[in-house]
Amino acid sequence: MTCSRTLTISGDIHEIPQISAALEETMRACGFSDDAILDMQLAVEEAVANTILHGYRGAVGEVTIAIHATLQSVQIRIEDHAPPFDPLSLPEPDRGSDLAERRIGGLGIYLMRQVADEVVYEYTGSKNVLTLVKRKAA
Amino acid sequence: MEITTAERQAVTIVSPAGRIDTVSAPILEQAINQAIERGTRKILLDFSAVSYISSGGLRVLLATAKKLKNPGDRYGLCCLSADVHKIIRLAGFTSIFSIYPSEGEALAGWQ
Repeated sequence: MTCSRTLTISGDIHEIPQISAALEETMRACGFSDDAILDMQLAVEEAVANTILHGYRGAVGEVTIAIHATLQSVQIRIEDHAPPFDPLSLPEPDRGSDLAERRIGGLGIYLMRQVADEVVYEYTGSKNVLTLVKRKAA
Repeated sequence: MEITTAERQAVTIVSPAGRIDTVSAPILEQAINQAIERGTRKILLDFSAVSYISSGGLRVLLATAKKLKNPGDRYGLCCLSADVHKIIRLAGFTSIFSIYPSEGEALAGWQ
């Protein structure tokens, strides 16, 4: 059994809720838990928000999100045409200093890496391609 | 996202309901800033009806903490779901925020 869905958005953060809804519907159809759905909604939101806000820098630009779930795992492929940027190259965020020193930068991508089981980045065919995988808990 | 604001024992309790994502986080920030502009220095965020938070929401939580750090100010979160608590812990926020299991426990500690 597979559950698949592909969406293309025009690079507006207001379209993020519709991506979250598509993930919920697709993953639920393949029997994923609420926890796994919330994890991947977070990972995809952070990846897409990063592309819209930092990749396209507010310009209009398409982002394609291809969701492919099976009974064992879900793979989400996110493609954009923004300048090449490997989110995995970002340094770890500040998670230890006290309140006065604490900065928020890089937290979204860090959370994405924490909640996904696998994250792969490649730049191919003039596209940034980020692939996120989540496996069902055994 | 719906946001309710209430006053109890000189504390402003801000209760968002729904998902705090990149899109809705500015609405929460506005509600908190309005409370601070009205003069409150004690804010409790009641997250009992929050099912999800992303880095956009975490940014608002951190910005509020930085505004309410004077002696006598109080700022905290209560009633987190397991999923929201997990994200706040992953973000490393449990060491800089006061997190309470219930509204009553937060208010009792602030009097």
